[in-house]
Amino acid sequence: MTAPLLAVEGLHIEAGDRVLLEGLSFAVAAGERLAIVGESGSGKTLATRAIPGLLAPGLRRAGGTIRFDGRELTALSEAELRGVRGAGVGLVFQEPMTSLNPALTIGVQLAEGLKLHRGLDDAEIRRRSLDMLRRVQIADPEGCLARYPHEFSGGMRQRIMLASVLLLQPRLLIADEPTTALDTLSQREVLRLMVTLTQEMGTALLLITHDLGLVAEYTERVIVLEKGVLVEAGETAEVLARPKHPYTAKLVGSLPHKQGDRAAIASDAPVLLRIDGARVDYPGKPGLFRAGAPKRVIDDVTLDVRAGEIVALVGASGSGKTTLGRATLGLKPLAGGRILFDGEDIAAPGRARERAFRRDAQLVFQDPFSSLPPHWRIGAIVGAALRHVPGLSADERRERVRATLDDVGLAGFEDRRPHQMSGGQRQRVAIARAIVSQPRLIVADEPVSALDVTIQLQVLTLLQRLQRDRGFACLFITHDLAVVEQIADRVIVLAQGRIVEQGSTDAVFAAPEHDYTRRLLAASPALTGAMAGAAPGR
Amino acid sequence: MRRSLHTLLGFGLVGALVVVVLVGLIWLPYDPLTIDLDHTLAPPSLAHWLGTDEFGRDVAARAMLGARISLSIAIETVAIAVVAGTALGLVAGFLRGWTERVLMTFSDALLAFPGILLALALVAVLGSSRHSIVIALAIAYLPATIRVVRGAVISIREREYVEASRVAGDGVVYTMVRHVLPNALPPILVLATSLFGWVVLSESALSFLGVGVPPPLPTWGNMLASARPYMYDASWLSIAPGLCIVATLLGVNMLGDALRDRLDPREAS
Amino acid sequence: MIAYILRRLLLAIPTLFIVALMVFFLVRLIPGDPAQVMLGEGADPAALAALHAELGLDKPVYVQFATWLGHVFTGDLGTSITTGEPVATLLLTRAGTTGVVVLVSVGLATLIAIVAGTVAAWRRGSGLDLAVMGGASLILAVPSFWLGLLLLLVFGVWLRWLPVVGYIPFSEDPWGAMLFLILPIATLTISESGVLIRMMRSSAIDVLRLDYVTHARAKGLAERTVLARHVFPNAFAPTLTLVGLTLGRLFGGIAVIETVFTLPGLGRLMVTGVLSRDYPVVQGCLLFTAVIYVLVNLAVDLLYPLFDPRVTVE
Repeated sequence: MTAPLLAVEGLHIEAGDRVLLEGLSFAVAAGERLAIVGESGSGKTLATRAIPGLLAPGLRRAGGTIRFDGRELTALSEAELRGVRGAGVGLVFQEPMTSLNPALTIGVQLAEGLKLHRGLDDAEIRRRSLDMLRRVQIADPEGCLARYPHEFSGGMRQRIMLASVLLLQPRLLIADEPTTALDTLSQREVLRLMVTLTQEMGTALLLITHDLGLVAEYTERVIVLEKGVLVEAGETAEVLARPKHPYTAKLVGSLPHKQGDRAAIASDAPVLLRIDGARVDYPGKPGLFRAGAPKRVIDDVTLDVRAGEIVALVGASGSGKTTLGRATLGLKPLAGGRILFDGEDIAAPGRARERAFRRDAQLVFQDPFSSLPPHWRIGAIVGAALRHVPGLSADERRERVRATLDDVGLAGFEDRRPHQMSGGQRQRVAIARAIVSQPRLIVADEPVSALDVTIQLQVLTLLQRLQRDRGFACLFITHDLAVVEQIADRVIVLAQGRIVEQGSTDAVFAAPEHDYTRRLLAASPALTGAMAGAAPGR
Repeated sequence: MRRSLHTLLGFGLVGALVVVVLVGLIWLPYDPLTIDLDHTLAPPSLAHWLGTDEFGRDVAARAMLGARISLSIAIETVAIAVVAGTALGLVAGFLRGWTERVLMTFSDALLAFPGILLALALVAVLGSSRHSIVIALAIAYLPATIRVVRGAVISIREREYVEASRVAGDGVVYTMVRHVLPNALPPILVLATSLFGWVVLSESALSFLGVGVPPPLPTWGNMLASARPYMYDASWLSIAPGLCIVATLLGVNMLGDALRDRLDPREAS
Repeated sequence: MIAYILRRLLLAIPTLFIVALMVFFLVRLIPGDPAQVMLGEGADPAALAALHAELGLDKPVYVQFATWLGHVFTGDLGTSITTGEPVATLLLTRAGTTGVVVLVSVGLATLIAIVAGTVAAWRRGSGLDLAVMGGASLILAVPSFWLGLLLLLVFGVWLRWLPVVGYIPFSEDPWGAMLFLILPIATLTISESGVLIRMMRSSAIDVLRLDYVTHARAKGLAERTVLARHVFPNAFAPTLTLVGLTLGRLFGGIAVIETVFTLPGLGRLMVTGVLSRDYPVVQGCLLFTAVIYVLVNLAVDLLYPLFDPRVTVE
């Protein structure tokens, strides 16, 4: 039994007197793929930074050993450690926007590591760089070398990062949430590339993620961290199918999934919202003397939402789904087409009509941290919309706020302020704010995307219950197909501002008609079916 | 720990300054304007803590009166600049479009004149009085204020809670007053403290050049100006007023830093 | 890239126009007959009439402005009332002196700021950092003219190493000229480095937090390479803007230093102009310094993409 490539023993990380990671021990064999799973605060990122000795100032490795490739890393001098970095251990980060130096060309950044570790001449470096860029599927590698990072999209930047790291042929690649900031289709491409290339090069992969679907599909073993402590480890298929620790079970159970059969919406239920041939333009980049040609963000979209149904609006970033959500509430002007609420054009003049519309249609935002005014108390935030509801006395308003807060599970929180609350709690406040005026339509713009997986489940469940109790219709915008499967009656797929497919959730998921829909479904590994008994390392 | 030392020092210095000014309202060691030709250019002693100047006037008393004058000018100037700047910055930042472009072009043009020269020119036009100094300095610092407020407003109005206010049905004015302005206050306050320091510096510079507060009223600036010819004989005259300026600015800057740390922890150094 | 340059150039034009407008109307703000104002009280009627005609005071305001603007474009900024010299010549000679002091000082201050700021950010929280920050804070609290006076006191009066008063143009005696310029340059360098150090440190701290710095380290690069190649260009960009603003501002703004060291510069010209109500000189100085400010900032804008290529896209 050969010694593992990486063996971490009793790793202990502190910040001041706070313990962030306690007694972490795990090993990675040569060429193996191991996932470290956990939510925010689990310490998974810390472990990865500690291995090449790159902890942020203020963090301290208070104990433990790290054996890599036969050497004890904690005993190395800084100079020796630098030799290991890059050539022995490669690191890929999450944020494609800040992972490449904006001031240097791609070529220079790719060449740096090679010059340092392998001392190759320029011609050889260029040859290898071009070769690697081709392997990560960058079109026009020659042009790429001369360009700057800001000229590339997020997905392409991640691939360039991958190329940069793999050029040095490290024995271990640590990837810290490498695809979290990318949209569904790009995620799949980049991860696939990562797995293929590391397999070809015999590089071991240490994948840090919170996404169990990715873990199921791409890794062989997994370890689970909760608040700085290792709670479970084992083979991926085994751990996910039969979790032993309650936290792991909770994580697995929190994955959005279909919950039994849905009650069908009566086909004669009244149409509440009708979007008819809507078009939305964004102003183009201005030229020297005139405004640029406008960019069409929403192109001829027609859809209906009936009273009481939940319709999911699905698409990648840039598909226009957020813009469509905003346009539905009249927040973005239409360049063409109409939007009818309850049969009336929402753009028609009339203060009274506009006020009624604002009462009846509300929005739940994505970011729980920026959607609540930081200088107001929760009670005031939730009650804000009641200002426009006629005939309510101050007492009645207070009572409604109290009852709504109670309904979302935040009883008694009226006097708190947003910064005193967690992300999940704030999102519940955002929901409370949206339902307090008893609207008939709620547009939810990625309401759970910014939350940890276990909190996601809580908030989703809350939304479903509220929808059942109060009967509002919901336009649910998301990129996560598993969420769609859990809560939506119908689904509409949006790509580049156009509808490519729509229908009942069951029908579309079972038999997608459009190619884009098929690709989206294939790229979401966490769907029921893909999870249970998934064969890793496909 | 280091930060609270900073704050403490800041409070201490500014507090001492305020005390000196308040005390000076009712008591001064000597009359700052009385000429005493028998005791000119006396070095610091028990009788005259900071010595006397070329007309025999007590330097300490003049410094205390100078404190009151400089600080009151600074307070007035900052008040005018901040109120006007906030109003214009709010309008520019919220309405955008042509209004913003016109305002900012004028503001940028004003910025093109070096502050001192602009103040000089305005004083030339308005005359050399306390009143015109305040106006001149307020105009000189107006563009900076407008810029800061506008910048803050532009970033705030993109935040989702401002959008949420619109979704709830609130009008533009309501949103501006209840949401944008309260969140713009921290950077405005920080700017105000920095402004205060700059105005004290500028006013002393103008007085040094002879275009500030006219004699015989003392300000630290013109005290330094009249000390120049006596550098060989009475060098202490060149030191005391300068120390006053330094102490004031140190205190104000430290308080400003402490304020910034508290209001916007992200910006803390 | 070309579009970026052209856009920047075009944006400067309205600003310059408004600057000219403001300068023109400034003198007109003084109540009374502008010609009388310019020539002073006991001016003889013939001169008054001549000035009236020259300024075209009987014509509508916009014609006067156009005439004045026309003169400006041909380089005629009027004549000084006190000395009778053409204002344009006065400005150019004085600009030379001011220019030398400002350019050398700001150059030195920038170098100091780059080194001190980057090192302080790199070793944030250490004794070195505290010393640098403390020094910068102290500098910010010291008025430049007082610093100049102190330096004069120490080096000129007490130690007698350097001359106290006077100035010799370079062309006559370079070494002698240098002696006179050492103190003013030292004063201005110290004065301006305070705010530049703080800016450099603050942006270096921001950059040091970013992923690509960690990534550079993760490649195994030596720390000094990381600082020089990855941190510096990105952290310098905002400081460059500040350097530009400073250069532009100081061209007219070192009036106090020129007064302390009795240098024949632009600032002092303006001061004497104001004190003696020499309005053509006042107008000329204002216009000149404002135009320099706009041009310097334009130059900075054009240099900026070297440090931050993202800016050309906007």
